Amino acid sequence: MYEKESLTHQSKKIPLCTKCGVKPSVYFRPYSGERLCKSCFIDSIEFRVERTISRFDMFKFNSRIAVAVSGGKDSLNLLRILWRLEEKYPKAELIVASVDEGIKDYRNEALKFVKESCKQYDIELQVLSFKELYGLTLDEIVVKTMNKELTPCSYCGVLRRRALNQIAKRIDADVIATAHNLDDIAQTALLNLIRGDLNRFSTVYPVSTRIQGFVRKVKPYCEIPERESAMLAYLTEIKFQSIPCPYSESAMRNDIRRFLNKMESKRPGTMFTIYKTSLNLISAKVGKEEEKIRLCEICGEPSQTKICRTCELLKEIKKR
Amino acid sequence: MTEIKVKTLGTFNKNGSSEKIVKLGGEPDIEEVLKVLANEGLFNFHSDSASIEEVVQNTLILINGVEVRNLEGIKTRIEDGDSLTLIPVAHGG
Repeated sequence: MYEKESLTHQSKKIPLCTKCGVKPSVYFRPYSGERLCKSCFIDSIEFRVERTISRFDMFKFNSRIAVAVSGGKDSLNLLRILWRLEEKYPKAELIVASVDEGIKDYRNEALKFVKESCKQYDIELQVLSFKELYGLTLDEIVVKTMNKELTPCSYCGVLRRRALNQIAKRIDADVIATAHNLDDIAQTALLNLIRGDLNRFSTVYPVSTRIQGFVRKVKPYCEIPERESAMLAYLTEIKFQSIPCPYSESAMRNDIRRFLNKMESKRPGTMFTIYKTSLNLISAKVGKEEEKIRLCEICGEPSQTKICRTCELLKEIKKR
Repeated sequence: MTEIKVKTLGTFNKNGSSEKIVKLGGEPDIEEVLKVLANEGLFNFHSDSASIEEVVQNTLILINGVEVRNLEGIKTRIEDGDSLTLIPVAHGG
């Protein structure tokens, strides 16, 4: 089956890297047929991120970039890659933006990893907590909204997006880079199709539309499958969170994740196909319609409706 | 008897433990090792009801630092002294 093999540990035959042809491979990509050694694997991920940045014109040579880092493997990987790329662009600047939702144990461990990475790369860190911004932690919001229709993830997602935008505005960033990976994008696309929410479908696009009051968001990590992100973290010795989010199981997204992982395992390339199809669908729409934006009557932030989603949720939480 | 080192990362860690020595009879393959680990509740898999197939789809499995799909998948034979690493693909956040 293999033209070239190398013997490493005991009797296991390990095929050589299909890229360099010299070193034994450590990873197989079923969707492309590549078998990559450690260094070619790491290079290929960095190359793909750089290509995504260039293809979607995400940054300028002197961008002030707020990197949204949660402390999970994806955002720590992205931070490491952007830090390495930054060497080529001395006028660009990275600042780490972290949101502390107030989830006992889970967020504390993650923030510890964020601080360690910022120290290692000598990057400024800005943390904003839900408590500081909204007067409540997510743990407190969950207690107040128990047995409501919306899941904790629904509240957390909206409130976290607002918090990130606030940090980016405070530090005068031109752009927010988030570490959404390929699996996140495919899941979101499918989730919005199932919910019939075509307005939100366009959020899977790797760059957000320019709207006054919102710092532009980009997803340079969107072509990296989550499995490869885990492998990259392992190979570059990035720490893995040992505490799962206590609220994650309530999300419908988990059902879709399981379904897509099964599909990807049986039909490699499924997630890339969903991603590319989504881009084609969105491209047909982007630029043809201007988003109607007004200011929220409560907080004054930009919104598509009279009252923004953040204020709607906060009103509901505080009523209880 | 085959003695292997099993290392877990991330949310698979249970009670702070991340490394165990596991002894198995004969020359088991990875699937058999996973079944033993799941049955004995040695590690936190994604859910108690997850099938081995589901565990495999959601786990990065490495034998001596090489991803098992690069070998013979979960049918890869384990040998005495091998090191098995299990990493959850999604950290659950």
